[in-house]
Parts: sequence; structure tokens; C-alpha cells
Amino acid sequence: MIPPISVSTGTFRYTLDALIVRSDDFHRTVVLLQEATTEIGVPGRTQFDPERAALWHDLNRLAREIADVRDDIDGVIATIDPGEALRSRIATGAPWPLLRPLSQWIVSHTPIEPTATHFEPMAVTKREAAVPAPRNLADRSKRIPTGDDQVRIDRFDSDGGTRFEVYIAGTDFSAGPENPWWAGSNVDFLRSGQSRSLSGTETALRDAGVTHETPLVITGHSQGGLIGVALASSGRFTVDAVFTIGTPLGVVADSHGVPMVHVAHPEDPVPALGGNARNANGTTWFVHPEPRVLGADAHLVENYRPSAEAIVQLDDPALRSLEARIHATTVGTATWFRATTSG
Amino acid sequence: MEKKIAETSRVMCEPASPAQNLVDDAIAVLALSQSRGGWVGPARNAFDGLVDEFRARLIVLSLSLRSRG
Repeated sequence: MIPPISVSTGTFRYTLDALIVRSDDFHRTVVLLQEATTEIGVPGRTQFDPERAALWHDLNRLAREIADVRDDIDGVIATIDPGEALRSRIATGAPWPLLRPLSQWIVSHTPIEPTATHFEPMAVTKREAAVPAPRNLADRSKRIPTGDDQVRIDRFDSDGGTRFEVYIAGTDFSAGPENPWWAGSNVDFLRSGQSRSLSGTETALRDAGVTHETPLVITGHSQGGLIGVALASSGRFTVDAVFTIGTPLGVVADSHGVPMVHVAHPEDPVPALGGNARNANGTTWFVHPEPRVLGADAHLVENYRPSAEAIVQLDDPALRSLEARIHATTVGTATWFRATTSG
Repeated sequence: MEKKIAETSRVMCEPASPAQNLVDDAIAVLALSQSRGGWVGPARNAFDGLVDEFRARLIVLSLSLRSRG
């Protein structure tokens, strides 16, 4: 399993080239080891030699492990740039970027919901006092709502002023159109830049006391990440940073200088639906999920949390610096919100 | 001790088998991969750690092949 790999705006080609060269190096290594095992000969064909058999098995196992690492690299390469998916063998996760044309077709052939821009009511469902400030990406990923609530807002008051952190849930794929966080809101969003879930999140932010001036950090999973990027790009809020997890990459092209950190599993089809990392502002981290899951399971926020932890463990100076800059120094209060039309 | 050194020297001086040559080439490819410049940062460091582990295991296998002759 390879460590998390990041690409940033303006340097993605650089990292991509570095990964392509390493993929080729690993391929050459595997071919050489396969030739070596052929030279040694399959154990047991003639007189059994336990030492030779052990060598043969060790070399074979090592060749397989290196080939698996190469597959992991190729999965990241394909997710960074869909064009590269055709270059390399189809590795784990690599087919997803090929879904991009399909998603474009669906988006362009789906009528815009007339309700996309209306005011979406949200109800407070729970409050909790004395909430510690999140320290890092992993802490933030754990605060994204996963139940019936769609938005959580943490408020931190100090002598220096008030700061907010908002955590936005992803698409509820089991919900119908009555729920603003249903799958159709993604299409509304991609077509018009508006959605009922975006409207609902703005309602919750206003209800929580967030104004145009109060510093705000946004963390969102899937559709929640799209909402976060849209809020940052709207200019209606003072957004200090956006963290997205399993969100379509590169849908909103202009981040207006707001630092953005994205986390994507190559095995997750959703980040690839928006395009690729070259269009995503900020830094995108590619992590293979552990345990290895594919498709819908790779998209679950629960499976992204260990990946966020793996990124934190790398102790990347740029990420650490951003997290230090936006860290609230006091305990706060948390409020959960649910769309009242979600049934 | 002197006997062990003498044995090791004898093994190291013997011509390598084709299988060992191939494994040594694989070690060289990984070494080349690690020496490539450019990409920096904690992800690169962690990645190089992974390559280190592979190289170490290959070196052990290469020595085993050499001792077999």
C-alpha cells in the first residue's frame, strides 16, 4: 500500500510525471523478478530442493507485492488525469475517470429543478456545549453528520472574536426529491450552481449566527464538499479554508484564493465524476482506503476517516501550517441541523 | 571469524547466476527510482521508505542466490 500522495494547483503535472516514472520503474522491477523466478525454475518439477523452493516463493511474493504497489500508483495516476488511465493497465479505481463523459451527458440532459433556488428551511435538532476545537483534517472528518442531520455548526467564541466550523453531509442516496440532500441536488448543482442543499446550508449558517464577516471553516463530504466549495467561491462568507472528502473534483474552477484541501479515494467513483485534479483548486490528497474497498463503499465517509488520519500521520508541513492558522483556541458549542422537508 | 570472512569472500567472488543477475538488476532499478530528483515532501519520503523495504528484501534474496551458486 502506497502512502497518501498529494497534488496541488500548478504542480499536478510535476507530480504526475514523478508517479508515471515510478510506475515504469516498478514495472521493470516486476518483469526482472518474474524472469528470475523463471530462471530458478518452478519447484517440484524435478527433484525437490526446499531451499530453491523457498527462494522461488519469496521472489514470487515480492514480485506480487511490487506489482500491487504499481497498481496503486496507476490508480492514483488515472485519478489525477483520466487521460493517463488509457496509458496504463486498468488498475484498481482506474475505470472511474472514464465515467466522466457519462456524468456530463446526464447533467446536460436533465432539466433544472425549478425549486433549486428557493429558500430551504432547516430545523435545529440538537445542541452540545463544551465542544473542543478540531485540531486537524481527521478531527474534522469525524464531525461530518452521518445520520438524519445534514449540517453541524460549531461556534467558538474568544476575545479575538467568533469563529465557526461547518460540517456538511454528503448525498443521501436512499432519499427522494423531498430531501434536499438527495442525488438530484447534485445534478441541479452541476447545471446551475444552485441546489436546495446549498440553500439549506446557508439557512443553517444564518440561523447559527454566521455573518459575512465571521471567519468560517468548511468541511464537507461528497455533495457537502461541493456546497463548501460553492460557499467559498460565492463571496458571501469569509471562508478561511475548505476541506472536501469524496467530492467531485474540479467542478468549481475558481476558489478566490481560499485554501482548499481535497481527499479522494482512487477506488471512489464520485471524485472522478466532476473531472480531475488538474481542475481542482488547492491540494488534492489521493489515498487508497484501508481496508481496501471499491465503488460505493469507497465513497462512504466512514471509510474516508482512516484515510484522513493517514494524511495527518504524514505530517505534511503545508497542511500542518494551514491547520495551525485556522485552529480555534477555545471550546465551543455544536448545533445540528436537519432539512425540515426531508421527511 | 577468519574462516567466515574467507567463506564470504569466496562466495562474493564467484560468478553470479542468471537469476542473481536479474535480481541485482531489479535492485539497481529500485535504487535508480529512489535517486530520481524533483518530487519532494513527506509523501515522497514515505514512498522511498517503501522502496527501501523492497530493496532490503531483494538484497537478502540476492545473497541467498549467490550462496547457492
